[in-house]
Amino acid sequence: MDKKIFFPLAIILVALIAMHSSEAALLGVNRASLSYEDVLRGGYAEQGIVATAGTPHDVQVFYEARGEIADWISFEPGEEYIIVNEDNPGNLNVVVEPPSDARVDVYEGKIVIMTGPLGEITSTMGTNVVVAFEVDVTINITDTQILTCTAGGFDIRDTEINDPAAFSARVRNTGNVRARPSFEIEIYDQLQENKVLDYEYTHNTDILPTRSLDVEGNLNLELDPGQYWARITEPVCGQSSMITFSVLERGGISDVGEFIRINNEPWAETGEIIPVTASFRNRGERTVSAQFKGIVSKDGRIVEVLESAVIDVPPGELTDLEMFFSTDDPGQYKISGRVHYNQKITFERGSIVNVNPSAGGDEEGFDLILLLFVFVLLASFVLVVLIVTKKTKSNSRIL
Amino acid sequence: MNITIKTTTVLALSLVLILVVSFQTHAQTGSPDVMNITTTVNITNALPVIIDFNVEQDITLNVGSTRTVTCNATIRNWGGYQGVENVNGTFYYESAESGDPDSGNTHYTNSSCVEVSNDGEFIANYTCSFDVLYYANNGTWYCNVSVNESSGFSDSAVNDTTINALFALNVTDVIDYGDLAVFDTSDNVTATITNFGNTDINVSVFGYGATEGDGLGLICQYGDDIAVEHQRFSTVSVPWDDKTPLASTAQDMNITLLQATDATAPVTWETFWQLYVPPNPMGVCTGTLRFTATQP
Repeated sequence: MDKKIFFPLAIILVALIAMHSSEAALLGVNRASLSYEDVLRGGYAEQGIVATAGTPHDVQVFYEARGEIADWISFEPGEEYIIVNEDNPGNLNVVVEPPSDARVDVYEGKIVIMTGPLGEITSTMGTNVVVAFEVDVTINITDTQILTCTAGGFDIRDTEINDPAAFSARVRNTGNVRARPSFEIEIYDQLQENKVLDYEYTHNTDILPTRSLDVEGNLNLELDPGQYWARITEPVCGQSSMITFSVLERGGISDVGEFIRINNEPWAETGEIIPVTASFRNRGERTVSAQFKGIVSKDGRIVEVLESAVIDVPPGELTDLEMFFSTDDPGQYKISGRVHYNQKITFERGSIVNVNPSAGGDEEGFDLILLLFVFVLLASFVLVVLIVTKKTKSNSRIL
Repeated sequence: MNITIKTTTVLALSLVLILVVSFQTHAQTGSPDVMNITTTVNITNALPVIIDFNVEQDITLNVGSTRTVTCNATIRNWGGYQGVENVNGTFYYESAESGDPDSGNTHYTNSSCVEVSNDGEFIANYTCSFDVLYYANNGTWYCNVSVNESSGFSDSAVNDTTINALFALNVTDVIDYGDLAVFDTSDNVTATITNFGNTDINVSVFGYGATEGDGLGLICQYGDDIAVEHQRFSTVSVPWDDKTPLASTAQDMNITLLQATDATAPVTWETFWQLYVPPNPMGVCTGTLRFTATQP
């Protein structure tokens, strides 16, 4: 059968089968086994299981741990059961907390995930059916402490003078001991030329192994009004990021702008006027006056300063700030710069334009050569004519 | 004599001119020691390029139905985003190839991915969707997206993702023996078990009256309850005596439901159940059967 016909038919058939089966105990789980590696004695680890049902009706899903490690296992949510249906899968967090005197070894057990009774008996004798899944659990206990993590999503929100600045980040503990998120924050001035402050922030909550935490805190930076840049580093995770934020006057409105990219044709000719646009989006709540300021450089030397006109950009709008560049010197040029808006500046962005010699200049040289060639040809023709004339006259005299 | 002088003069002038021309030509090309050659070309068609590409991660399939998986590609075409003639995609299992024929287990094709947005110039965003069936293999899958430009140029990109295992079981939700009298044995009642996941599963079963391990099969409204062994089952249709008595602990039913390979033929297994009513229950009697799926 043609696959183009077969596949849609197959999907329709599956839907029909599933509909027909809606009266039955249709349940699924996404894990057949859970393996917890390098769990510390007295430590903590967790993994998730997703339970799904193939019916629009609510299905109660119960869960319990069995085997020698049953006492080490608990579930989140802590309720006796979760409710799932075809539109709402159930997320079950399986937490392992071995006792501190557990020996270093590999332990095995099971988690049973099951439905409640699903049907209704209409006669005098019958049995309900319950569907269950046995999920194998393996726990590898170690006595070696591992401290590793990942961090990202760093942000410092704009604040008013003398108010603390709201800081946020996301950290995941990938080791087997508790991790306390700590951040080194280097703050630079608007032009990123001078460091104005070194700040350390340690969160007041530990992150359990295998867990993630959205860190939120307040930084008492005591900075003057203005725009600042912050390099935020989580030293244990070894990850860092540069962000910008502003300290506003009391009652000041936060302006947020995004310099998206510099647009220009990648190839041009000498003497050509090259349009360059800087795409800028106003993500703030009020109109900002935006201007691109940048340079054009070649081989590391600045050859031209580029500045756009100052344009008012309404909230939410994307605007192209237009400029033009022209040169008589072929080569590769780098355009770089930032957008300045309401006393703030964006991250720097750049682009490349390759300038070739114009075709018009070559044609001019070629024309000169052609003219000279024609002249030489004409002179040679005159010479030949004169020689022939002379010979003709000599022959006439002899005769 | 005059003619000879004129001829000589013209000849000399011509030589001077030739020298001038040679000098000019030499000046155009520069010194033979340091020769600068300027090249220029006008590119009329450039390759379309997939500059960003991602596929959704950690996919859990839907029990007994389809799950839409999407791959998103951002394509830049210097000839204009409108110059993109076709974007197509394949979604295939690690052991398959992009060019393989479609199969519910290992390979899906979308021959016309959908443009969802563009920047009005060179860049367009496309989404390739695949309706992945419940029995698609679990493991590493690849999404391959290809873009074809109107002048015949093309580009492609591949990214990987994971489809999780799906253990899914579907069983007739009630085994109804009907209205019976003491000493009656019911007719065969069929309970169908279906594998609606993407792995093979073994099935075991046990019964209880009110709580697990109570030794009962059915709790009755009046009189005595019915012991668990008075229910019997088989995986083929056989008489009561040849059936297996149900127990209070899990018994392997000796059936393995394989992963499906055809959407039109779900993998099912019929089981046959009978109940004998010993003296001396009365009224409505109910119990519970638990079918448990395990990894073979």
